[in-house]
Amino acid sequence: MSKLSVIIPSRNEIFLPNTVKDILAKAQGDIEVIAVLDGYWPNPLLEDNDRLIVLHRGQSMGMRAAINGAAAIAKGKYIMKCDAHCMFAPGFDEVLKADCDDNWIVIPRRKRLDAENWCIQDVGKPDIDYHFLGCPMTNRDGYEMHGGIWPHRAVTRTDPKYDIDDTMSFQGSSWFMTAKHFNDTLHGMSEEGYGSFCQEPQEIGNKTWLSGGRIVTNKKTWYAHLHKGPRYGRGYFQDRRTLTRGHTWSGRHWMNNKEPGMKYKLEWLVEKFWPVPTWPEDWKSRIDEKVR
Amino acid sequence: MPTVSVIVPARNEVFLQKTIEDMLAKAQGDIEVIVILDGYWPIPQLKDDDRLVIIHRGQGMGMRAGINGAAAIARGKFLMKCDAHCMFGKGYDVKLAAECKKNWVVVPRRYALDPEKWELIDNPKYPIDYMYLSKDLHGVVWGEKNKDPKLKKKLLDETMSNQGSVWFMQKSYFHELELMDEATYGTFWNEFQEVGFKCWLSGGRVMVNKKTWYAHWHKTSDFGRGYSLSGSNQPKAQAAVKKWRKKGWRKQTLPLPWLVERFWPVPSWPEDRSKWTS
Repeated sequence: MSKLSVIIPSRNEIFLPNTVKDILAKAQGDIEVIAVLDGYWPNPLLEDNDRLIVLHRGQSMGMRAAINGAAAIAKGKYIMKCDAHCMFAPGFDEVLKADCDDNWIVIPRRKRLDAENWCIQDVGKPDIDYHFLGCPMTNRDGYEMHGGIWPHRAVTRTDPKYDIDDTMSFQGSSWFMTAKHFNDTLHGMSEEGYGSFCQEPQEIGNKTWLSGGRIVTNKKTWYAHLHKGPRYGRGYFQDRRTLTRGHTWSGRHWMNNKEPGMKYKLEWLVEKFWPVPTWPEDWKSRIDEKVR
Repeated sequence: MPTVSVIVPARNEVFLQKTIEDMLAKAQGDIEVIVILDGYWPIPQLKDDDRLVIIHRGQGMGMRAGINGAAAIARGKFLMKCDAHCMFGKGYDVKLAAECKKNWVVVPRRYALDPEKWELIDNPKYPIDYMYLSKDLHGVVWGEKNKDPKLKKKLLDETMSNQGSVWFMQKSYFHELELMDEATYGTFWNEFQEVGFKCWLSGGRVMVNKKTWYAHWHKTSDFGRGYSLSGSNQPKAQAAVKKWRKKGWRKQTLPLPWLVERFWPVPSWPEDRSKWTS
């Protein structure tokens, strides 16, 4: 079977050992886990495992550099990135591989994780399958294209024929694709404009959709992502000004179709999913709003 | 951004920490040191440094895979591979980078290191600048050339072969030479045969830079083996080296006799040219 390389960028993450252990236990196919210890050592150290590679940097270089570094040493035909506080369904790897074309990004169904008890947390809300990209012109905090959970699309597409289904965007805490797509089409994660951290799903998601690829949600398997409740300290973070700069750059970049080598314009993506929450009927005539 | 990325593959290496500290202290330019802990953790842990990157593999993968992994994340324009028991001359990084054309493999002058005292051993065999490839394609210290007073004055010169414990080149050249080829050579053996043959016989130059030096562990005492030799497939490497008598690599443009002729007369090679490729 084809190998999967799981990339876990980590910066002071208390649930990293649990995440690594969980993935190694739940995978059923050939797998390697690459944990990036970005400028810190966990205490205690991660438990050794034949399938675990640790990439430690004396100085933190940020999330995007961590992903790129791990992807550079990854040996898998497939790569999956996940945050250092995630739990997976048994056999997630084989289910994700089964429906992943060369130019796809696949996102497993997302549940909420109670990390302290390492179990799924029931908060009385449905699992998350779909995200939309928000309209920068109607965004209150500035010209920023934010992702949002899209429950309406979920309720209208419950039929099993939608088990593998198009999604406009995703959260970014876990994604799965071929190494070929990551290297040859996305050319890795770009720090230009975005900075080291923000707008990860916008970058790789838009590059994928607009280059002729596809993002799908896969409802046949799942992962659970740390449900924000109690604080567990800060992992990767940036100050508000840096984030705002990255968000604004990205918003303008995509609304003005500045990404080179794309097959479609952003308009194509919005129309494909129309009607999309937060996008007004007259959005095309308002693209230049708030641009300056 | 670092200019030089130093790659240190390590497997149960007693002098790794000293090697790292030495390289960080002696560098005068911007460097990063990428250490591959191949299936083990040193005790005590390596000391943290902003310029140190560690790749730890739960399972040892061998020397070639280690070098390749490190090269894949290296950010420098130049790569330097170095064994985990070496001491360096001050400013080695800057001096090596200053004279390294895009199709050169450069090695510094080599001394003998007493790793316990961390000092040079006074041994009449050293310094070693030149090595030759013997008729059976092994690297051998070229005593006569190393002692030649005229050659001593030549601070940058061609060398037919090298030990392989330290080599330096542009990262783009590392990829052009398709280093390190684990599928053909196996995990460990004949590292410098692969590097040297590919370089010389596709139009490059292996150079010794005597303006700087390193000292390599002179085996006086036994500290155990680093990279395990079992399963490292020496016959495979030997078969791959042997192929250079005819054609060793798809990018090869020059035949082996060209190299022998260039350094002629070379010890162990017969006058009768017709016997060179057999």
